[in-house]
Amino acid sequence: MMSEKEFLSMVKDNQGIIHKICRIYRDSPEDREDLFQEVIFQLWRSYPSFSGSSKSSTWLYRVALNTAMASFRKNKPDVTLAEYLPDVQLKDNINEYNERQEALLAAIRQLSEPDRALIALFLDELSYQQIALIIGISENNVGVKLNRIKIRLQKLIIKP
Amino acid sequence: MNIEELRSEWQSIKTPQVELDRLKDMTIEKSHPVLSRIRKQLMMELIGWSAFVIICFTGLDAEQKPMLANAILLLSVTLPIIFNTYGYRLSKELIAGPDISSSLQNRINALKNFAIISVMLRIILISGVAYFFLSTVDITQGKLMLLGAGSVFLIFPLYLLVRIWKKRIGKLKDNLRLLKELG
Repeated sequence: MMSEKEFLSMVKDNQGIIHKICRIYRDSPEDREDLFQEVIFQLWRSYPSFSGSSKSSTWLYRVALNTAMASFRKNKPDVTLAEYLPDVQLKDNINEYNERQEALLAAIRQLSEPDRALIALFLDELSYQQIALIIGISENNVGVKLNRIKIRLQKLIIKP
Repeated sequence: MNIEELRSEWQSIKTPQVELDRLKDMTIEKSHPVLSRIRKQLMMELIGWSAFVIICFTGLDAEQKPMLANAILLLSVTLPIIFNTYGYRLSKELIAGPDISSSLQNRINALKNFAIISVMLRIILISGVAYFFLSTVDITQGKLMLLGAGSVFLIFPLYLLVRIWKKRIGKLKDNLRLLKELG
């Protein structure tokens, strides 16, 4: 079992996965920040049950996507004072995303929440077997679903 | 864009970097924004209902009311407060299974049970408080109508509560259905 230090280091190295999930599951920067924190909290809570038999990125994906789909967002945006200085805040810098990436993210956000999970795993090159294990459906169903989602995604990018 | 281009764009998305000390802070329950809000709300409810019970028992002739009315009031106020601590624990447990489908299914079951008991306890609370106040009152037709009108104000929050739970559980059910359906 890893120590807290190793856990944090592993999360730090893989945090790009969590940020991208926050981008496709939440619209506002505040909601993304809340989801990011919720994912880290859930990872830490479920960390004792992480056996290490699967890759840490696979486990991280499962917890992050599960959290994004199972948590409820706030109804109204709250006005809160920032606790951290801008250089360490999670607010996305829109300039960091180019137009094609923005189009891709916007298209993914138009998919249903379960479809967003499948396409994110596929785009990060997880195998059908890994996707099936994370989602809890058969490999065959993963293939059928992904074929449909890929076509839909390409159509959404051409005609947003 | 073809699929390989989509993959390449996805994988080259730049993301912010959060430092270790900030990540560590996020693992602490006390610094969790949603849980902090829930804790604050629970504390306010505890203080509010405790004050209400104290006022009932000290300033509203509780000794003249039947023992049963006093006991029902105490029980109907205490039960939701105790049950809310279970709700707080449930708010922390988003991951409830070895994969996303089974986790969502388990969470739906847990939330359904919580919602049903929560609504029942709210009904018991309203009834318990009403019984305490009405236990020594002669019910006339006029008072009964007044009670009927007053109960609308008590039932409306209950309706809102049911609606919130239906919406939340419905969203999870939709996600699970879409995950499980073929193709």
